[in-house]
Formats: sequence, structure tokens, C-alpha cells
Amino acid sequence: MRMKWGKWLMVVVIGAGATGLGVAWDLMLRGVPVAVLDQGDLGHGTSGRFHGLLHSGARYVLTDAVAARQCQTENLRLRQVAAPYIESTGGLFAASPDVSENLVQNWLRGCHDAKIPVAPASPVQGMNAQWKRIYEVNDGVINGYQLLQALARGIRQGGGQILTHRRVVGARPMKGKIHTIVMEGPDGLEEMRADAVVNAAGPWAGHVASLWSDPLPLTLSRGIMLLFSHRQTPKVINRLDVPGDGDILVPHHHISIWGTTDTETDSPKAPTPSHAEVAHLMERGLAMFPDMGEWRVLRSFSGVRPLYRAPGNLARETRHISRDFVVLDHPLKGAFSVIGGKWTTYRLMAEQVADRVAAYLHYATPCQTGAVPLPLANAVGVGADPLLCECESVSKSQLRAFEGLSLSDLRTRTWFGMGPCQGTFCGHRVMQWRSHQIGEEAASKELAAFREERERGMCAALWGDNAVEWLLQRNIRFQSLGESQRADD
Amino acid sequence: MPMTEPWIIVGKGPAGLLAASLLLEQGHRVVVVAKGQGSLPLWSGALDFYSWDTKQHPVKAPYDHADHLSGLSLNREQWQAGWEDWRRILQKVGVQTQVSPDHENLLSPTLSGVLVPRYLVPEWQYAVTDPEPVTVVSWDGILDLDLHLWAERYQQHTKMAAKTIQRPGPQGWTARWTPLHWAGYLDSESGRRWLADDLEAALDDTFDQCPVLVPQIIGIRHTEEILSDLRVRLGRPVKEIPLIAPCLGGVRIAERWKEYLLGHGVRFVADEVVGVDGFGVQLATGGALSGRVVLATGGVLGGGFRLQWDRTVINTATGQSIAWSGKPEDLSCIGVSDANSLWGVVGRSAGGWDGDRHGGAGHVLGTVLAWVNAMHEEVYCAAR
Amino acid sequence: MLHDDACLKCSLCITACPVVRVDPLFAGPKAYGPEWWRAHEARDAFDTDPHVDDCTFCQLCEAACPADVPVAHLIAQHKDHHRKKRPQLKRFRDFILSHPHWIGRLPFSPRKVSAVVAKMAQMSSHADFPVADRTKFHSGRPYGENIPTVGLFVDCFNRSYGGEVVAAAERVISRLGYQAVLMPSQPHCCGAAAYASGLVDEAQRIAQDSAHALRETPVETLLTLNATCDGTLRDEWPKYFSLSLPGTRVLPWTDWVLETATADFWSQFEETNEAVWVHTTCRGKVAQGEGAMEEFVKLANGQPLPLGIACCGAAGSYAFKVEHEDAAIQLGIKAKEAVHRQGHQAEAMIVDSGTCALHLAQYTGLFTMHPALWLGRRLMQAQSLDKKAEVSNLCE
Ligand SMILES: Cc1cc2nc3c(=O)[nH]c(=O)nc-3n(C[C@H](O)[C@H](O)[C@H](O)COP(=O)(O)OP(=O)(O)OC[C@H]3O[C@@H](n4cnc5c(N)ncnc54)[C@H](O)[C@@H]3O)c2cc1C
Ligand SMILES: Cc1cc2nc3c(=O)[nH]c(=O)nc-3n(C[C@H](O)[C@H](O)[C@H](O)COP(=O)(O)OP(=O)(O)OC[C@H]3O[C@@H](n4cnc5c(N)ncnc54)[C@H](O)[C@@H]3O)c2cc1C
Ligand code: SF4
Ligand code: SF4
Repeated sequence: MRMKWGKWLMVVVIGAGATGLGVAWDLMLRGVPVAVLDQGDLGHGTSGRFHGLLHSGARYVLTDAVAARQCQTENLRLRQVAAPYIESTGGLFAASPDVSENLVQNWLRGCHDAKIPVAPASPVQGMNAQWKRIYEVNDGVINGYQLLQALARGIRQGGGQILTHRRVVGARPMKGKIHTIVMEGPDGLEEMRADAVVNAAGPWAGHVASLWSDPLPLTLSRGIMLLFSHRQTPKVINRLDVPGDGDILVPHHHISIWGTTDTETDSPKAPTPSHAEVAHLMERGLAMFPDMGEWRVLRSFSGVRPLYRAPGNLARETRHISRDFVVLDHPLKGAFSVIGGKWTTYRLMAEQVADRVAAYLHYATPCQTGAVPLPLANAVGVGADPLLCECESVSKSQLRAFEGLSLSDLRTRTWFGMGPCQGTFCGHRVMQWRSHQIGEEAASKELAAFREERERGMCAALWGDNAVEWLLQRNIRFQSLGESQRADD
Repeated sequence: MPMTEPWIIVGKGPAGLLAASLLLEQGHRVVVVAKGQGSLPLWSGALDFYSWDTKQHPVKAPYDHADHLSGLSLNREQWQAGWEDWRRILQKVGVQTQVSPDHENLLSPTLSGVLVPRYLVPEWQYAVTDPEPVTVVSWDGILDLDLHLWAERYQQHTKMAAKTIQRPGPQGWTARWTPLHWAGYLDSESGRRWLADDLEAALDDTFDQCPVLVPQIIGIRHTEEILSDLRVRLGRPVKEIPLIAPCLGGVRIAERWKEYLLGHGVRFVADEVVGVDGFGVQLATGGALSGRVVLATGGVLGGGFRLQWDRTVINTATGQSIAWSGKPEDLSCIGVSDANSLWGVVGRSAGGWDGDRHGGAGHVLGTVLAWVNAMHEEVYCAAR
Repeated sequence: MLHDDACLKCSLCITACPVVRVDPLFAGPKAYGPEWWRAHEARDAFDTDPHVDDCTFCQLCEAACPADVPVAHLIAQHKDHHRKKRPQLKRFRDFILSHPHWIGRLPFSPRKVSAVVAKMAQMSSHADFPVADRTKFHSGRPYGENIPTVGLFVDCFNRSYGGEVVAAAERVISRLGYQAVLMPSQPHCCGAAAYASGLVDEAQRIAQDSAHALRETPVETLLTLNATCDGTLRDEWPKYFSLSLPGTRVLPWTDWVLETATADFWSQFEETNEAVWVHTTCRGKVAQGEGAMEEFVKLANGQPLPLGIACCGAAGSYAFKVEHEDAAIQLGIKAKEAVHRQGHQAEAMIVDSGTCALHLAQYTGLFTMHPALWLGRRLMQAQSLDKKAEVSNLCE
């Protein structure tokens, strides 16, 4: 062990997803010193692999009244405190001709009860003309990565620490209380003193809790999504029905995300979607948007939902597990776990966790995250220097602001490699720049990992121009660059 | 029409242009129909015939990996004859090529500093049989060529030294210059003067017997002239390292080739073919052309085949769907020659037999030769 | 636009763009088209670039694109967004130039604009301007009941400056056993000029008027004498302006002649092997391809010399604008170089657009003309030769 961090009071948060960063931001505003640890970069888990919807709550009114209400209030609150990271697109709910009028009426009543304003609306371009019953609600879009970066910035500015690429592998107690957190980082094992620890490890929460030998009522559910280039619609489009597969389209910056599915899984790792899953999503999609087969697809990916299975909930399908959340404490004093919830409700979850932690540490300051706006994320303008990534307009000077990060982390911070070319051209350019810092060999390895990740997503949705792009990429890599022809071959 | 039935070649990628040129040489009338540019302007210019064996070692001659060309059964003599055909046509088009004395691969460094084997290489591009020390000069703003990385790899790969010189761009340069901007500038009088002055100022005596390598930006129209002037002025050869797409080498060849064909009476129709039968082709805008058809539509990359979300693969010219295993790596083989079908099929999908590792031109030539063999009578005897 | 964001970043569009090669400040089709569009879509107020106006709207980029990205049309949108930021004077000038059918009615047509006027009107003092041609052509009504009829689209340029061309085209049509209805009956413009300057809505309005006028005389076949109008009628009208001419097939006059003329017709031309340069304009290449005019020359027993340049730089009213002087001159010089490179083998050139002919004449010093004029003349020669032969026969 090389280093010891933290001599004074310290709360360690495991997980730099929405929940973990939310908790840390909340505690920090209450004056509690915090450190956030993550095995990857910000948003390495589900928070970087979600649909992007800021729920109005209307999706859950038929099946999940608690989640509906939580979404409704948090939606309004986030629009105030996190305004720069929320797009107020509005959302439509459209009922297919197969949906009974009874269900529509129930839904309307549910919205009314949950105080979700609903107004009749007209269809958007490209939608199946047969879907005539359409209503508008105040759905929005969360710019997840940007919001995470803003949280991280706020935490750092307040003196908190965020240590990425550190996997927590042990928790040592002293006199029945949590005392030390052991983590594995790039330079080996490290330790950190902790007076309290928050397990916000999302789908890995079970693994983390097992470090202090306490099982969690956690169920994992996998959802897959299809990413299309272009804002195919100006607003979020939801299928007005009992929540099911393939029923939400979210326009996000200049892309659109279509999803999702809901199947139980054992592993917190998000696997590549299979063809059967993608085809299933497409079939559902074509019913709503007959042209979907022609849209420029970019890739497909999946995420894993950490769900809280309340005692007595024996639902067979993960779809029927509430999106509510729970904060638990453990026999090990000072250790807390939070499971369940949504991106939309991260702040509320964080508030409840922080309340418990603050009480445990005898801090009396109340929660402030409902009123204090998040700091602006680093705004790096487009420089006068050439663009390395043309799809997303990322220049060298923008990369410089994140010097030291790996290719994959640079991707999520600057968005390079995320556009239609999926890194075909910019991957090589950014790798060259990176090789100046870490040398040819290490940079080549990073490039290979970057390519591998991009390729997996592309190949999961290999049709239309995306298939053309993929072949172009292969040609550029192997023909133009000779990427596979290395000295050691 | 008072003329003989033409050959209708669908596609103006390298396969289409090669087939058209061979027919033209035999005195046939040729019409080329294409909806898009084809992949030639993406080429470095070198005709890649190389291959790797399963352990990723370069296999030198195409006839050494005849297993990849299953169904085409071409022997060494046929390959060499085909190769000479292509070389001759390029010469007529106005592109001189280098070959190794024994018809084996030349070695040519890519943009990332590794050497790859290639067969027929235009004179502007650096290619050798034995690596030597080099001086590499580049200018600010040429994004894809990082000298530092290039030299590190080159030295690793060849055990030869590489001296690097980075220079600022010319006056008037902007951050958005692409290789085409550079080429346009260097084709002009003032650009040429700047280049010669700048290189002269940059170079010192290091490796002064060895070549100077520059990124592939040296004009489009006047490349050969500029390079030979530089040779005189600097006293040593100046050669190019190809960049990533858009690659000027391919642009040079494509433009000259098209002009050559146009000058010899070949007609280019800009349209999409949406149907093919024994008599000719139907066009997307409603018309039709009659004649003997050769499909040179490339594969998925060239637009000859289109993948749908449900994994059907449509031949865009015939409208028929064909089988695909669903494995991405098999995509590049889609569109491989079917020389015995009602209409000839030449060219290919992407960059090699298995997509990318065996060289684009190898496939193009292999399929064109197979088609010529299969249609021998018609191609060689039935002219006029 | 279904494919507006399908860009593969392959840069094939850049390789096809003529302006990139002569204009160091023009970032190119990929940057001004799909890249701008994507950024613009994500952030509404994304900056426009003043040099987007340097685009000639030749559409060669679009034709080169393997992903069917409407590159040039995205650029037209970009120009439209940028227009609001341009100086008042230029905007006024562009508005006027966007209505070539008005300009054609002016009583004067100077070959050169004087320096003072040029400065005031933001016009180029280098470019040659067209000179009115008052050659009479047939009025526009069919004159026979039982003769098959084709429509001949008299575009705004030829109406005012190309009377001789129209007359020649008509003459060939009637030699082929058809009669031509000249349409529309009043001066109208297809909208191309406005669209190319980024006046997207105005272009649509102009085109609408024109479509309305054309529908007055329904014809099965409508022949065009200008590649730009041809492309606009066949591409922009249906795809971008939602306009159609039901039941009418639009095609270039040249192609129609190639389709219609029999061996008999061609055999009247003597084997003089008269060489002539051929330049298919950029819009012609995009809409039709290349080599048709060469074939045409060959059939008429001439010897075609393809010029081998992409775009001459005239591009409708492009070369008339002061800010495009440089690009237009550079492109014009390329044409001159092309002639020199191949040896000055002929004195004349045929080209399928009036403004291009003007520009090419200025830079190459050649005698440039529409193929109709060239064939019309050869036809007259052939006829007079016939006459001579007849006369000599009589004498004998
Ligand atoms: C397909 C899908 C679509 C969704 N769509 C929406 C939506 O549209 N709207 C919405 O509101 N919600 C949506 N959700 C739900 C939402 O994304 C999640 O509820 C939320 O992101 C969970 O955040 P988290 O911070 O709890 O977990 P995570 O984001 O997974 O964070 C956990 C973090 O802990 C880290 N970690 C784990 N173990 C360790 C360890 N041992 N040491 C160090 N670090 C560790 C991980 O690397 C990870 O970064 C969706 C979920 C899925 C799966
Ligand atoms: C970036 C890149 C660089 C490369 N570099 C090299 C290199 O340096 N050397 C090398 O040897 N190989 C190279 N290759 C590989 C090589 O380009 C291909 O293997 C080869 O070009 C395929 O040629 P083709 O003529 O069969 O098809 P393409 O070049 O793809 O041409 C297909 C043609 O058919 C037309 N078409 C398709 N469908 C229709 C239709 N329905 N109607 C009308 N027209 C149609 C298209 O518009 C196009 O004109 C490279 C490939 C890429 C992508
Ligand atoms: S329309 Fe022509 S000038 Fe304009 S960007 Fe495209 S190719 Fe270049
Ligand atoms: S040619 Fe088309 S796909 Fe290629 S870069 Fe240009 S717009 Fe994009």
C-alpha cells in the first residue's frame, strides 16, 4: 500500500454516477468533507448508459404511483437547479389504435392525480398517422454527461475529492464502525480513511455491500437502446400504454435514442445487444415511425438498471418492480447503501441519503440542493485550431483542457468520436496527440480499446449507412493506416 | 442509333473504369452509369495487391494466396498479364507506376509510420524494396500526419533513422485547410514557389543522399512536374506519404482516368441503376439503356449492396436480395465476382477479400480478369 | 431531408468541389454542409460562416456523396441563415440578381460594368456581362395539328441573350419532324439563381410562378437549353419545392436529339472532322452525366475535345458578384490552362449554359456556343452543300 488519504473526518462515496455525485454534492453543501471513488470515469455505470429522459412522471402513472410522483416533483426542481443541462423539449404520449379508450382515460386520470399537466396535442412529422390520441406533458431531456461534469465541478470547487479509476475492493472496520476503504488504482492498492461510506455503486451495489458481508435486495434489469443520428423529432415521444419494450424516443442534442427493453440479468456489466433484441426494438419502432428503417442508425448499446425489490414483491418480470428507491444502513455502522430510483430522481435520492449520513455524523445543516444551482460546466469554445473531431466539432484546444485523460475518458468528456463517424477519423488523430504524453505503445493500446468499444456498438446495429461507415472504418484502419501491421506482428 | 450495342458498365470505381478501359482498347462502345463517385478518390494511389497470412505476415504475391481467390482460379501468368494490363492503362491515363524488378511487393510506409507491402505504386508515392534513412517534412495543420509518432514507428519498424522537420504553413493558411486546399495552393505558381523555398530552407545536410518525404499534398494536376522540379532544386528525390481520405493520389488517378475515357468516346451517365436484365439496365429517373451489362457496383461500401435492419441485403442494381451470414467480417465479401452470371460482376465491396487486409486492387483485378476470361469471345472478338 | 445527417465523413464531397482548390478561405462542402447542419441543429444559434457564399452551388459535392447527403442543399440553408448577417447593399444586389427574368427585360446590357457602377452595385468589374440578342424566334404556339409537338423551355437567359440559340434549337427540332412550343409564354425563372444565392423561400416563390406558367401548356416532353434549369426542374422542383409538371418528361435538348435523330439525320453531315471543345457544365454533369455532347459532336461528324474541368466559375450570377471575383477568375484560368495543356486544337467550344459560355469565352478566348447553335450551323452548311450539289447537278 502506497498512500493514505484523509486524516480528518471524511465521507467516502462509492460510485461517480448520478446518485453518488448527487450525494457528494449534497453533503458538500452541508459542509461535510467528501471523496467520491469510481472504478471508471464519471458516468462509467448506468448514468452514462441511459435513455436521457427527464421523466414528467406520466410514464408511471398506470403502474407505479410513487415513482410517478417523485418524477413529477423532481422534474420541476431539476429545471431550476440544473437548467443548463436540461432541454425543455416537452413530450408526447401517443396511443396506438390497439390501446383501449379505457386505458387512455385511466392514464389521464392518473396524470391528474399525480398533478402532471396534460394537454391534447397533434402528431409530429413521421409518426404513424393512425396514432390519433396524442397528449403533451412536460418531459425533458437530461444531458447526462454534462450534468455529471457539473456536479463533479461543484464538488471539486467545494474542496471535495473525486478519484476516478479506483475500484473499491475492501472495507475495514474498527470497533464495529467503518474505518478504512481499500481501493485498487492505476498504481496499485491505496487506502482511505472513512468515517462513513455511501454505497452508490448502482448495479454493482450488491458487490460493494458484500465487502461488508451484507446482502442487498437488488435486482438487475437490462435495457437496450438504439441510437440514431439527427433529431428525428423535436419532442420526446412515448407510447401511451402500460410501460413495455420500445416505447420511448428521446431527441438528444443532434441524435435520437430509441428504447428500451427490460430483462432481468445477473451481471452489472452491460453486454452488447444481440440481433434478436435489436430486431425486436425495430419492430416496435416501425409501428410508431414507419420510416425508422431508413433513419441513420449509429449504434446500439445497453444499460443495467439497479432496481430495489421491496420485501414481498415477487414480480417475475423486472418491469413490474417499482422505480422507487431505498436507503439502507448496515450492521456495519457508518455504511449506507442506496438502490433503485431513476436519473430523474437522483437529487431526491441524494437528499435522503445525505440526511441519513448527516444525522449519523451529527451535522444539522439541512439539504440545499433543491435551491442551489449547479455550477456551469467547463465551457471550452471552438478554437481557431483545426478540428480533430469533425462530427462533434472538437478541437485540439478543447482536448487540452482534459489533458491526462485516456482516449475513452476524453470521449465522454469532450464528446469526440460520438458522431456519425464513430471515431473512424478522429480516433487516429486524438491517439497521435495522446502519444506525445504517454508514448506510442500506450497510446496504441488506448486506441485499440477505443476502437473496440466503438466497433461493438456499431456492429450491434449494422445496417444502412452505418454498415457503410463500418466498412469505411475497416478500410481506413487496415488499408490506409496499416493499423494491424505493427512492428511486433 | 446508327451504332453497335454498347457495353453498359454500372459503377465508376476502379473496377468499372478498368473494365471500361479494357473494352475500349478492344474497340467496343462503352457507357458507364454510376450514381456516385466510387472509392477511387479515397485511395492513396497505390494498387494494393498484398495479403497477409493467418499470422499477419505479409504474403507477397497474389498467386501465393490463390486460396483467397476461390472460384477465380487464376494462375501466376494470368495475374502478371493482368497486372501489366493495368499498368499500361495507367500509363495511357497519365500515371507512371513503380514496380519491383521481380514483380514482388514494394514496401511503402503508411501515415502511421508502419510499412505495408504494395504491388504497383505511382511514382509520387514513396516505395522501396529495402528501407533506408529518410527525412520527413510536414507543415502545421496537416492533422493526420504526426511526425513524432511517425518517426518513432518508422524507426521501430525498419531500424532505420528518420529525421523530422515540422514547418509552419504558408501565408493565407487557415485552420480548415484540407489536403485539397493544400493541393490547390501548391498547384498554383505561388504555391509552387513557396514550397520549393520552404523545403530548401528546411533541409540541412543530414541524410543528404536519402529521400525527403512529405505528406501527400503536392498538387493534383502538376504533381509530377512539381516533384521533378524539386528534385533538381534540392538534389534529392522528394516523395509523398499518403494521407487519410480524402487521398489525393486517388483523386489524381480518378480525374485523369475519367478524362481519358471521355476523350475516347466513353459516355458517363449520372443515374442509379434499379433493374438489370439480359438486355440492359433500368434507371432510377425512368429511362433505360440497352446493351451488355457489367456490374461494377462495389459492395456495401460502394453502394452496390444495401443492408436493411432485418439483415436482408439488397443488390441495389438488380433489386434482388442475397444471403448474408450476419457476421460483420463477411460483409466485405459480398459482391465478389460472379463472372458466369448473365451479366458480368466485377469489383468488390471493401478493401480486401476479407474486407480489409488483402488489398483492394487485388480484388478488383482478380474479378476483372475472371470476367474477361469468362467472356473472352465477346470481349476480344465481338468488337464492332 | 431524410439523409441530412447521414454523413460518413469520407470527404468525397471535398474531392469533387472546384472551389476548395482555388479559394483558401472556403472550408469546403463537408464543413459548410453536414457539419454546419449538425452543429446548427444541436445549438440553434451556431455560427454561420461568411465564406459559405463562395459556394457556386454546382452540386458536384452532392453527386459525389455515397451516403446521399444533400450537401449542396444543406449549404443553401447555411447561406440562407447567413444572409441576414450580410450588408444591406449585397442583400439588395442578391435579391435583384435572383430575378434574372427581370434583368433580362432591361433596355440596356453593357458588356462590362464600369468601375464606379461596379463598386456601387457590388458587382465584379472583371466579368463580361451578356449582350442582348434580339434574334427572332418562333412565338410559342404550335402551328400544325398533326405534327408531334415538344415543349422548348425558354429560360430567362436565352430569352434575352440567346435568341439565336433558341432559333437554332427550333430549327433542328423541326428538321427532326417535330414542332416546338416555346414556353412559358412570359419571362419566368426556374428559381435556380435565387436558390444558389441562398434565397431559399424566394426561390420557391419564383419557381412556383414559373411552374404555374408552364402548366398552362401541357406537353409530354419539355426540352431544356440550359443544364442549370434542367437540373432545377428535375431535381429541386420535386424534391425541395414540392412542384411537379404532371405528365411531362423534362430532358436536355441535346439528349432528346440523341434519342430522336436517326442514322439518316446524322448522315447528312459531312466528314469534316472539325474539332470542337466540349464542356459539360457542372450542373449538367450532376443531372445527366458527361459524354453526351461528345457523342453528339461525333455523330455530326465532328471531333470532340473534352475540356476536362469541373466548373468554369461562372455559376449563373456568381461571377458577377464582386466578392467572387477571385474564385471566378481562378476557375476561369483553369479552363484556359486545360486548353493549353491539350494543345490549342480548336477555335470553338460547345457548352450547355449561357453564362458559362460567356465566362469561358472570356478566359479561353475561344468562340463558345450552345450545342444547338453548333448543330444548327452545321445543318445550314449541310443544306447549303446540298443546295450547291443540287445546283451543280442541274448545271450538269
Ligand atoms: C436502459 C436504461 C434506460 C434508462 N433511462 C432512464 C431515463 O430515461 N430517465 C431516467 O431518469 N432514468 C433512466 N434510467 C435509470 C437511470 O439511468 C439509473 O437509475 C441511474 O443512472 C442510476 O445511477 P447510479 O448513480 O445509481 O448508478 P451508476 O450510474 O451505475 O453509478 C454507479 C457507479 O459506481 C461505480 N462502481 C461500482 N462498483 C464500484 C467499486 N467497487 N468501486 C468504485 N466504483 C464502483 C460504477 O463504475 C458506476 O460509475 C435508465 C436505465 C437504463 C438501464
Ligand atoms: C478509404 C479507402 C482507401 C482505400 N485505399 C486503397 C488503396 O490505396 N489501394 C487499393 O488497392 N485499394 C484501396 N481501397 C480498397 C478499394 O477501394 C476497394 O476495394 C475497391 O475500390 C472497390 O472498387 P469497386 O470499383 O469494386 O467499387 P467502388 O469503388 O465502390 O465503386 C462502386 C461504383 O458503383 C456505383 N454504384 C453502386 N450501386 C449502383 C447502382 N445501383 N446504380 C449505379 N451505380 C451504382 C457507385 O456509385 C460507384 O461508382 C480503399 C478503400 C477505402 C474505403
Ligand atoms: S455546390 Fe459546388 S462549390 Fe458548392 S460546396 Fe458543393 S462542390 Fe463546392
Ligand atoms: S461525401 Fe457525403 S458522406 Fe462523404 S463527407 Fe461529404 S457529405 Fe459526408
